[in-house]
Amino acid sequence: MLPTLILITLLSYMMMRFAPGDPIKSNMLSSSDTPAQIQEGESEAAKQFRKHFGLDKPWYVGYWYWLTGNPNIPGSKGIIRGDFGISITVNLGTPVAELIKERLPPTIKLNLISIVIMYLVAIPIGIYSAIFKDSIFDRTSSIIFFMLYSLPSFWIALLAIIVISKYLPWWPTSNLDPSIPLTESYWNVLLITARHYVLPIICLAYGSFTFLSRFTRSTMLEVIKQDYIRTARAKGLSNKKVIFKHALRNSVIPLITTSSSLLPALIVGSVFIEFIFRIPGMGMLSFEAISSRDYPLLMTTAGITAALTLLGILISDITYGVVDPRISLDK
Amino acid sequence: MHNKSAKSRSYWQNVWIQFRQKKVAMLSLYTALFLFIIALYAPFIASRLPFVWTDNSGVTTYPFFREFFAPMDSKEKLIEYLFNYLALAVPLLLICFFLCRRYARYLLIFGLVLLLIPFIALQSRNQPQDFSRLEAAGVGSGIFAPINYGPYQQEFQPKLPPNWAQSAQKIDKTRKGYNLLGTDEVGRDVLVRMIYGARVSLSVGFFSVGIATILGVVIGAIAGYFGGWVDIVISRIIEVVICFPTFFLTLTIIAFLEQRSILNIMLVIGLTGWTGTARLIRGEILKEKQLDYVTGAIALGVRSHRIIFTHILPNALSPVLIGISFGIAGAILSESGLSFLGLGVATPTATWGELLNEGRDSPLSNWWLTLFPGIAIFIAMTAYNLIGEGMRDAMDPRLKK
Repeated sequence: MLPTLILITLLSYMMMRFAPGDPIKSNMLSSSDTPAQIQEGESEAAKQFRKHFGLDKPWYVGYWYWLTGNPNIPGSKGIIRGDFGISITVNLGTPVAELIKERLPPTIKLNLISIVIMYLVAIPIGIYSAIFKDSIFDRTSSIIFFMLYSLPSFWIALLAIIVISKYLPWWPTSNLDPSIPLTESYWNVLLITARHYVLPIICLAYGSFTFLSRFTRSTMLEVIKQDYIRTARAKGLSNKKVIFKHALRNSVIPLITTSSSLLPALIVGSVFIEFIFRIPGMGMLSFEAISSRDYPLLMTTAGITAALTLLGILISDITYGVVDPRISLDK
Repeated sequence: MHNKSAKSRSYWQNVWIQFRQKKVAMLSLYTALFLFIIALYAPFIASRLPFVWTDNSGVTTYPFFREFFAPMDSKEKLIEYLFNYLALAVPLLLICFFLCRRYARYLLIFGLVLLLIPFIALQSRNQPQDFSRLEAAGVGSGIFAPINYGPYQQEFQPKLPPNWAQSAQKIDKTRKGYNLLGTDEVGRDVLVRMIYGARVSLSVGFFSVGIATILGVVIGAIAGYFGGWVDIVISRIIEVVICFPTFFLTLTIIAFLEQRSILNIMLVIGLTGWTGTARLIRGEILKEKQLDYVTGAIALGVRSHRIIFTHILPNALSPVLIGISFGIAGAILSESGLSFLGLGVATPTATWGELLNEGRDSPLSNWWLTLFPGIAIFIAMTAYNLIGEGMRDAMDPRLKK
């Protein structure tokens, strides 16, 4: 796992450094600079900046600095000692850890709620359409879900904004945590906050209904065909008992294990949703980092997502072993 | 006796019969074909150049075909050339296979080469004139396409709503099919840009999935067939690529590229999307490798690449086909997402996502810029997703009746 992680960060760093464009251009190029000044070459300040952040060194030295700390920056300890570095363009001089701490909560909140909603909606429908396979409900829900799946979330978000600001102008369409006057009552505060969450959460959640419900349906169908279900029916158990006690429990197992693959999405969230609803979350931060070439910040977000994906794979492997003793981890 | 006909059917014929029984899947197939035809014949639907132009002195010229065989307007010339060529080649293909099967092969090759000639020979082009205005002024007459303006010229006032949503408007008499879906930020017609955008959006879907599938099949086959340390190394590589946050990888690469071209986008989507196919093929081949027919082939001394590609792969192909269909939908989504964020193709090129991007900043006042391109994306994605789902059902051996 660790070698994979190191390889990924190494590759990311290499790619970033080889790619055209650099942080100095996006940072130092203020509006006062005339094209002639840019032509002249780099100013003394730019050279200083480059030297200070180790950008004048080749990429492998830069990566080493990122790993173990940049000697030019006092207090820089490198990623191996838990120092994420300092943002160089998005918010010059601010530690990356601080930026992330500030941007993480909205993304986590948004994603956690939408994951819960996804599961609550998709699993019952998946189970129901498995039990009544090829019924009208099964077929229509399948088509509706495939259509939902084909609706780009950024398009739906824009349409929602258009419709709502035309017909429900008081409904909020941007920002997550509005500044609410302290005089408001507790329930009012809750209501206002909840209102802000509705649109982004719907837009985030609906796309995953299809995958989850289809997945539930197919695992459930697989389970229903098993011998022990036939046995349960043969011994005269009620349909309800067979479905909920015997079939459901066994078909939920793969669902639990797939949930670990949702981990990386928790951190990065959805760039589009945060972009459209102007939510200052991790997705926006990453997007800003990419467009202004903030190397330390980018490395951190890429590293965290990679680590979480690996962790998700690991967790799903382990849970597979735990819930199904026939799968052993050591071959 | 009762299954004499069933016995003679091949696997793919069976799949086709299963698929054909599903109305939704067939409808999606027709929709996908319809979109493809629109993309192919975009210049015939909307072009500012007349097919035939006769000026008052009696000289006849063919301005449309000059542009058709040597597209100059677009920045994505490769795609324009390809689609224009296909627009002529596809009917030829159909004719060859349905009318004269006997000589189909020779006729086809001859025709395809013959079709290449005008594309190579015709290079230069006259200075573009506004033929429809000339006609209105009485300088000559011509035969025009149903919509007589192109996707790149800024012919109209910017941000005009669709003509049926306008209360009063000054109709430009020289323009046929006037602004059915409104105009964009700089006065180009949205409908025409959507028709031309189908070319770019669909080709992104096809080519990036093509790249991903070829890579995935080859890499997965190698890993599965040879096993041992080859398998270990390739599985590690797959793991690394999976853990690369794909969308961010795409964003990073494209944001960092200075030359924005559709080819780059295809490459990026293709190079990040092959892991699923590779894992699938690897698994299938691990399974198939154990079977007797492979042992038989090895015993006969068949070379390993032959065993992989002609003996094992056809048996492992059906999940890949399903993956291709879903992959095309996914690639169309990725492209429109990137274009939506402003990281898509270079400016004059039209794609569905790029139109959404134009409407992004003021969705309220330019609702038609958001609504219609989104519908196009939605229709294309639904069609490919439902085709994929239909294929999955048709190929599922457990569902066979």
